[in-house]
Amino acid sequence: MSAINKIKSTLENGSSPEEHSKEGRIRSYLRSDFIRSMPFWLPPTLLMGLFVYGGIFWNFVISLTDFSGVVRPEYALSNFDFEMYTRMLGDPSFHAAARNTILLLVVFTLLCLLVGLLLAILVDNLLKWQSILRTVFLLPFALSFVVTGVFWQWMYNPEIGTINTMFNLLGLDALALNWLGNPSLRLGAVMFALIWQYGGYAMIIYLASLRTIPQEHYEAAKVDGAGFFVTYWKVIIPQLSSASVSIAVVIMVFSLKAFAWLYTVFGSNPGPAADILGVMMYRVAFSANQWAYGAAIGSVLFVGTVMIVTPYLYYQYKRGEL
Amino acid sequence: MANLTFDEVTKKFRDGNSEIVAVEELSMEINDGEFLVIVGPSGCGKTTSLRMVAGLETITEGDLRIEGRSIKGRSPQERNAAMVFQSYALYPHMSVRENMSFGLKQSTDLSSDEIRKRVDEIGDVLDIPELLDRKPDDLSGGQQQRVALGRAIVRDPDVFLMDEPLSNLDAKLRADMRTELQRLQEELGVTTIYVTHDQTEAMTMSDRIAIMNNGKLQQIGTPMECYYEPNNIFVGGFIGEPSMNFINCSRDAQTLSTDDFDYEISESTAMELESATNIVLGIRPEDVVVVPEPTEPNDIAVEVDVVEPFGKENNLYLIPRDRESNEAVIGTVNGRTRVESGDTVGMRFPEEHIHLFDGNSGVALRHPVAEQEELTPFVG
Repeated sequence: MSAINKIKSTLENGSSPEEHSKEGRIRSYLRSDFIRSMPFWLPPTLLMGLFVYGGIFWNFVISLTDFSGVVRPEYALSNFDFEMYTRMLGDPSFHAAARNTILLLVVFTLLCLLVGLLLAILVDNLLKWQSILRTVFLLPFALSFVVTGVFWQWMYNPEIGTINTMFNLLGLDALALNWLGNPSLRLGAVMFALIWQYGGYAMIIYLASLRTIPQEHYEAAKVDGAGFFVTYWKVIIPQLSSASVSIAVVIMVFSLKAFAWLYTVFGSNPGPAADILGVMMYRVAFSANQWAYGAAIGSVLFVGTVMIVTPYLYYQYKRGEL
Repeated sequence: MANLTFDEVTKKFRDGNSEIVAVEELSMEINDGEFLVIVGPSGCGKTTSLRMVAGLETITEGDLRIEGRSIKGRSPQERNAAMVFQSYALYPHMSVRENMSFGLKQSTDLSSDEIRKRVDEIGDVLDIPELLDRKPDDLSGGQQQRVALGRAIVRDPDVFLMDEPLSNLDAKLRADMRTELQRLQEELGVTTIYVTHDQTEAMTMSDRIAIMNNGKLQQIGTPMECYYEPNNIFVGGFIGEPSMNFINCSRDAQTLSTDDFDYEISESTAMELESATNIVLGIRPEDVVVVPEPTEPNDIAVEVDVVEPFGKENNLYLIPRDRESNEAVIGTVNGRTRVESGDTVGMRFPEEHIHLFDGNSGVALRHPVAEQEELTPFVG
């Protein structure tokens, strides 16, 4: 029945104006964009809500229990406490993992930015081989952590590894150390390998950003009397700040996920020298069956990630890029 | 403040295996405090010449001298030249004040107090004191233009170099800035080289114009000289709007013939042409006299093809009758003249106003004679 006929019939039936307007409201509600677009956004929203945000919530709930894999966790309010979180405060292996995670977050990210920036400036100034070098530096980024983990295990092998073989050939035997075996070198060696993998990513973003700076800025600086280093330091690099922020966020999030690399190289126990929260969470939950404690570590990691991403999103929002 | 000498300056670019000559043996002298405009079509080498002075391009051959001192191979800061870029090239992360101070910090030993004072002074001169603490992105195009100028002026350079600085402004603002730039340059008295492709800017602003084409200097002279006594066909056609009419003729003694008409020249004019037979006759639109109908021997019967009204004047596109080609002669008449397209009128080229060029080399053989006499003194 068409809308006009409907109205006609309502009028003929002599229904009260109130009923009429109510029906009209429902009809216009049903026709609104909100309802009509529902089939498109509702299923993914439900799926995301259930499996991602539901999972996060469930993880948090588990962290409030004492679940250790033998009996099913008791989901009762009386049972919930923050014992797992207070336990972290006194746990030296948590301290070591947290310290390494933060070191990785800060030092690895800064070094990655620095290496990426230097590579980008270098490649940008090359007249030849630009595209080849771009690919060469970016290629490691395309490899999975598992592949590069195995690869660096070989590189770092104290007897037959490429690095020590090279040092020995150069007569620098003193530098041929047990890179992954020695706890005081381990985190540094891990960072070096990760920078090798992510420096290229930082370079590509910086390079793209450098390309947007007009040639006239270099020339204006030159006419103003600035040399090569001053030009970059005062004129060019400050214009890369927005690129630096996006690179830093991506690298930081990746450094929280360095789990796969460490797990490939060291298994579930890299020792306190290179342990990070991601690896510890896995070890505690899946090797030691302390599910509640693992879930608590997971929650801490989640909060850490949110704390990194939120300022970035806010920054993007303020710049009107979101 | 300084004079600047181009001494047979040549610039060649490598393009793969071939060589492109951007500027060829450019020689000219720019006097102390002079406003020289280099004008020419795209790719004529004008910007390259400017960039060689700035130190942004090397000089392949020849020499460039400021005050007799060669600047070839010297770094930009040793040249004491300030440049205004077409895109302004303001540093977006610095405030206006920082933009203007940057050059002073890099190329002088002034203390930060002195720099601050100087930037404030120039801010007042340019009428932008309230903009000093803003960022370039918050400024309008015209304001950015002023800041770019300020950045150059504050350096107190020997030479100002301007690369099409007004081309990003809208027409009205451009006209205002033209006047202002001229006033500023006169006040400061700094030798200025100004590059543009706009002949109006060249005519209105300059002390002298240098016209370039294909990397070669075609003519250098005052705007009046370039307008009334162009060295060759290129200069005649480039300077002036609408541009000069050119008509190819073959000459037999005192007769210039085209496919459509014959034009008799006087004996004295014919003497100036010597033995040249392939002649190009040039006449400016405002010198073409349009009469109701041909009456004199040299008058040509034409049809008005298009009328372009400008208010104070009309441009008429005149085509000789009974002719196949569409090559029109443009004639300018008073705006109140009643003419419509399709009208048949007479077209007259007064002999005192015609330019004659050698058809083979393009070199001017004869300039109009009347102009100097017609100039009436403005102040009695």
